[in-house]
Amino acid sequence: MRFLLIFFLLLIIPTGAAARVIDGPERWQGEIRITESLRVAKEGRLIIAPGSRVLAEAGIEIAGELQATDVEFSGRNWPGLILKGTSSQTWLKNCRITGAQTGITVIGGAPQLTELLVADNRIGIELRQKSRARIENSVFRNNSRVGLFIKDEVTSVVSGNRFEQQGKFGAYVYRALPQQFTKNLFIDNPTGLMISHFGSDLLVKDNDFRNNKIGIKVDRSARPKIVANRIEENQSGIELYRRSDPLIELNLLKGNSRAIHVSFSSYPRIRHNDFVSNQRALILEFQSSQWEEQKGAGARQQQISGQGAFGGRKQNKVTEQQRGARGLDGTVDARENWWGEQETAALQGLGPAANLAWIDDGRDQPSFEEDGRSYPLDLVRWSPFGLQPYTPEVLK
Amino acid sequence: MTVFCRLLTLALLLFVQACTSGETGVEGQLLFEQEPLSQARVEFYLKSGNERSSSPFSVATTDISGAFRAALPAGEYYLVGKKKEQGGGVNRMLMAEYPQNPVVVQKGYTAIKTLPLKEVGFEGAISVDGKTSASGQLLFAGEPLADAFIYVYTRGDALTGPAYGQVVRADEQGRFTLKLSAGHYWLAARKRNDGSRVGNPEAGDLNGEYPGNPLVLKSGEQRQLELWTLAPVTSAAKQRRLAEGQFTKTRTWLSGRVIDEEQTPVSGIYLFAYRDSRMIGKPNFISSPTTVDGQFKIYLEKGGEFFVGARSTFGGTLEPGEWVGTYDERSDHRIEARLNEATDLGDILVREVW
Repeated sequence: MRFLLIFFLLLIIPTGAAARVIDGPERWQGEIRITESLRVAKEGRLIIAPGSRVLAEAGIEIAGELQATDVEFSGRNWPGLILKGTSSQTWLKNCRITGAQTGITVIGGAPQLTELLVADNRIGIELRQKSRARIENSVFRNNSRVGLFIKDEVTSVVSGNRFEQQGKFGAYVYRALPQQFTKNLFIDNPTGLMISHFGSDLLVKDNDFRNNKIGIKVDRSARPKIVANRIEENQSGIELYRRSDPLIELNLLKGNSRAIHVSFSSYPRIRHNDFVSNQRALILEFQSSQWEEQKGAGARQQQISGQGAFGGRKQNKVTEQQRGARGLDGTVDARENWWGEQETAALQGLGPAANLAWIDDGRDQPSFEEDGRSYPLDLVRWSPFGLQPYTPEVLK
Repeated sequence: MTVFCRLLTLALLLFVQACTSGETGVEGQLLFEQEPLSQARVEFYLKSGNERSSSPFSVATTDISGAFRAALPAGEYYLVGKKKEQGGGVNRMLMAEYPQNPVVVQKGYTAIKTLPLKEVGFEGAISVDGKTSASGQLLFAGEPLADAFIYVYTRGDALTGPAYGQVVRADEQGRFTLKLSAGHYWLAARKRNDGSRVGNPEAGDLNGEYPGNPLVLKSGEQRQLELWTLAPVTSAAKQRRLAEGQFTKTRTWLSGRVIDEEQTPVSGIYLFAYRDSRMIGKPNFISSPTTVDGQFKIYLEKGGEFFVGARSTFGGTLEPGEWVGTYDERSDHRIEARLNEATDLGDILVREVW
C-alpha cells in the first residue's frame, strides 16, 4: 500500500497535536486533542476512523483531503473546520460537529457533507466563494445564529436537511444561487429561511416550513422562486420586505396566522397556491405603487447600499435599473389561487372589487401616512380565482 | 397599530428624511469612439494610482445615453471609466482615467467633461501588437503546475494587488503564453487554494516572481522563458508581510478591549484607524485580531487625529453576521494620539449585523 498510515491510539491520555502541517497521508483513530492550529496541506490527506473523537481548542484547516465517517468534532468555542478549495474527495459522513464558532466553513471547492449533526455552534455551516459543496440529509440544531449560511455566489446542493431551533435563522441565503434547494424541513426557528439581496434568485422547491415564527423571509431585492412547498402553522408563512419580487407558486399555505405578508414595495406573483385555514391569507402593509414611484429609488439609495461599515456612504453594486419595480399599477398580483373551500363558496357571485375577509389591503385601509403625506395602499388582484385546489395534498 | 407597525413607520420616516437632505455627487457622460457608451462602470476612488484601494468607494452605471449620476459625499474623487465587452466575437476591456482627476465635490452635483474610453491592449496600459509574446511553464516540486495565474505588471516596485495590466491562466501542463508588445515587464504568478484570481495569498497558496524580471522584449520577439518554480506561502512569510506597512510595530499605539452588548469580550475583531473622517476605503492602520480577552493594539506611524472603527472582516460591504462597532467616546469616533505614547480607548462595543 502506497500510503503510510500513522495511527494515533490516544484513547485515554489527551495529547496535543502540535501546530503543524500534514503534507502526506495520515490516519487518526481514537480520541485526538487539537490544542494548536492544524493544517492539512494541498498534498495532505487525513482519514479519521469511525468512532473517533476530535476534541478541538484550535481550528483545523483542510486544503488537501479530509475523509471522516462517524466522527465527533467538539470543543468550547473552537474555530471549527475550514475546508479551503477541497474537491469531492473531501467528505464528512454521519459526523457530529458541536461547540464551534462556525462548525464548518467551506471556502470554494466541492466537499460532500452528508448525514451530519451540526449542533450548538454559533453558525453551523458557512458556504463561501462559489462553493459547490453538497449538504445533504443533515440535521442543524440549536446553532445560536444560523444553521446553514450560504453566500458569495455559492452554487451548492442543499437537500434533505432538517433545520430546527436555531437562534435566528434556519438557513440564510445571501447573494447566492444554490443549484438545488429542496426537500428540507424547517421547524421551530425564529426565521426558517432568509433569502436576502439582489442576485439571490434560487428555486426553493418542495420544502416544509412548520411552526416557525417566519417560514420564509425575502428581503432587499431578492427574487427567488418559491414553488411547491408546504408552509404550515407558522406565525407568518412568507414575509416579503423591501422590493422583493418572488414567484410564489403551487405552495400549500395552511394554518398560518398570516400566510403571506407583503410590505415596502414588494411585487410578487402569487399564483396557483392553496390557502387553507389561515387566520389571514394575504396582508399588505406600507405597500404603495405611488410611494414606490415617488420615493422608492431615493430610499433604496440610502438604505440598501448606501452605508459603509462605519456609517460613511459606500459603493452601489446594484443599479436601480436592476432592482426597481416595473409595471406599477397599484395592485399585487394574486390571481388564480384557491382560497379554501368555504372561501371559494363565498366568492361565487362576488365581483373583482369585493373586499375579502381573508385579505387585508387598500380596501381595508385605504392609505398610510408618511412625512405628512398620504399614500394609497395597493390592492390585491385576486380575480380570477381557482375553483379547485392546485396542490396534490389538498386535491387528495 | 402594533409596535411592529410603529417601528416600520419610524424606519420609513428615517429613510425619507435621510434621502431628502442636500445631495452631492458627480454627473457626466462616457463615450467610446465618439458614441455614447451605455452600461459602463464609473468607479470613484479616494486615492490615485498605486495608493488606490482594490475596490472603489462607489460605482455608477451609465444609461443608454452614456450618462451617469452618482451621489457622493463632499470630497475629492479619482474617477475611472470601464466597460468589459464579451461575446459575439468581441472580448475587450474599455477603460480610461479622468484626465482632470481628482474631481472635487462640494455642493450639489459636479459635472465633468465627457470621458472617452479607450480599448486596453491597443491604447491602454499593456498593448498587444500581435507579433510579440513570451511563453513559459510553471512548476511546483518539480512537476508542472496547472491552473495558476500569471500577472503582468508594467512597474516593478510592487508585484502585488490589482495593478497588473494583464493576467493569464496556465493550462493543465502549467504552460502559458503572454501576448505583449515591445517593452519592460515584471511577472508574478500565484495559485490560491480556493482557486480565486485575486486576494491576499494565504499560507499554503503558491506564489513567486519570475526570476528573470524585468522581462525585456523587442518588437516581434517570441521569447521562451526559463522554467519558473513557485513556492508555498508559509505562515512565517505571511506574518512577515503582516508585520510590514500598516501592521508595523511602533512606539505609538491605541489599545483597548472589544466587547459585545452583554459586556463579553469578543475575539477576532480588527480595529481600523482612519485619517479620513468618513472612515471608508482603505484604513491607514489596522490591528491584529483581538485576543480571546478582546484586547487590541493599533500601531500608528505617528500621532495625530484618527477615527476608529472595529469589524470582524476586512473591506467590502457589511455582510450579515459581521461584528461592527466604532469608538464612541466622541460622536465622530475621533481620537487624538500622541507620538511615542500609548492611548487607551477603553471598551469598544460591537454588535452583530443581520
